[in-house]
Amino acid sequence: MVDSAAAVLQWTGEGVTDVTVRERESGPADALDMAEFSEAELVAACLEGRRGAFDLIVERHRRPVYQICYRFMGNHEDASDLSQEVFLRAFRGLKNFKGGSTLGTWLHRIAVNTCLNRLALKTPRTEPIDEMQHVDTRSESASERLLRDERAVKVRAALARLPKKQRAALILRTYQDLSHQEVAEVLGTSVGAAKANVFHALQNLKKLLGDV
Amino acid sequence: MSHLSPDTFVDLLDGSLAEESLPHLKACQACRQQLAELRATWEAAQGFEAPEPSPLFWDHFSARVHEAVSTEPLPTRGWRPFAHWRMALLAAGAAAVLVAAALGPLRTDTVSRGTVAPEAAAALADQAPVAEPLQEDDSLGFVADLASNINWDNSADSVLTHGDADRVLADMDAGERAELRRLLDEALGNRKI
Repeated sequence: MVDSAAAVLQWTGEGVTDVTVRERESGPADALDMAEFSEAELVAACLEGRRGAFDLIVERHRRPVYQICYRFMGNHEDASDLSQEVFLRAFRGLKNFKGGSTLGTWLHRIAVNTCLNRLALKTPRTEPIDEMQHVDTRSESASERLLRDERAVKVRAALARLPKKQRAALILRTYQDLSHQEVAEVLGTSVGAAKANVFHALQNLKKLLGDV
Repeated sequence: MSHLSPDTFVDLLDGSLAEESLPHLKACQACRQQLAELRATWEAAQGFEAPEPSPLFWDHFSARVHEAVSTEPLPTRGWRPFAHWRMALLAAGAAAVLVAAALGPLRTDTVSRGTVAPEAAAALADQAPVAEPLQEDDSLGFVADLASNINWDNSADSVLTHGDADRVLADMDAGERAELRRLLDEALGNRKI
């Protein structure tokens, strides 16, 4: 008994390596070290206090997050602001990420919720097509570009009028190329319900677009 | 005749279901028409392209997120593996030390190994020194507090095996180890095992 207690005490002494989580500065070298990390490893590194790991998560997921925000909001300014908010929320909630879905799916969920919350507060300013200067149109003729722009305006306006869940399901499935299983995970519904939302979204979109 | 379900239409649009696999589609003009319209709408919807921001935008974006995140406290895992185990082991270990300390004099002075007749056992029990009431022991109170925070139902599938104690101890932070040391010091020092 005494021996075991002494052994326990010895474990608690100076000789034991401190394996507790330590915050450490993350510099470029740290980011290089983590460049090959899997998503799970990056999350673990973040939770160990390596802020550089989160920079890499942002780098890997910023484009799809921005795109989903753009599809919801219809303008660059809101999409940019909301994308930043998505990552900030993700950072704050990272400790709750259990790995039950992929990091991408989890970020999509945050993005959808963030966008829906914003839409509930205000109607986004729809960006005129000629403000979309960052679209690469070099390979298009003028008539092709005009046609594409007209179509984009109509689709964007129609999308904005869809019920929230239908809009989210259609955006995630059509533009973000998520599987129905992933769409269901993001929306917190069954796969059947996710498919039904896509179906009804397309039916409503057809009505809103008129002849397509 | 029942028409195709929404699920089936979506599977057909995805291509995860082949049209040839559905005899109904061949026979039903209404379903063929609906599928064609849905497909056309789907293709029209693809026309809404999200713009590709410039590379400069991405650099600025990452910098902005980095700056915003740097003012946030570091995320730490709310649930850590072995967290319950550590509490359970800490409580169980401390309880074992305290119980052993309380019963120590009884065991060494009056109880011998081997079989004891029931009458003799009863007599020994009568003569045995009475341990102080457990409720009056502060250390045991601390252990009871620790144990009361453990969800034993959730811990039921966690069976301690050889080496777990070492791992749990290694996983403790400095504060937890200091608390365990204090507890054990107190128990060993007070009880003089």
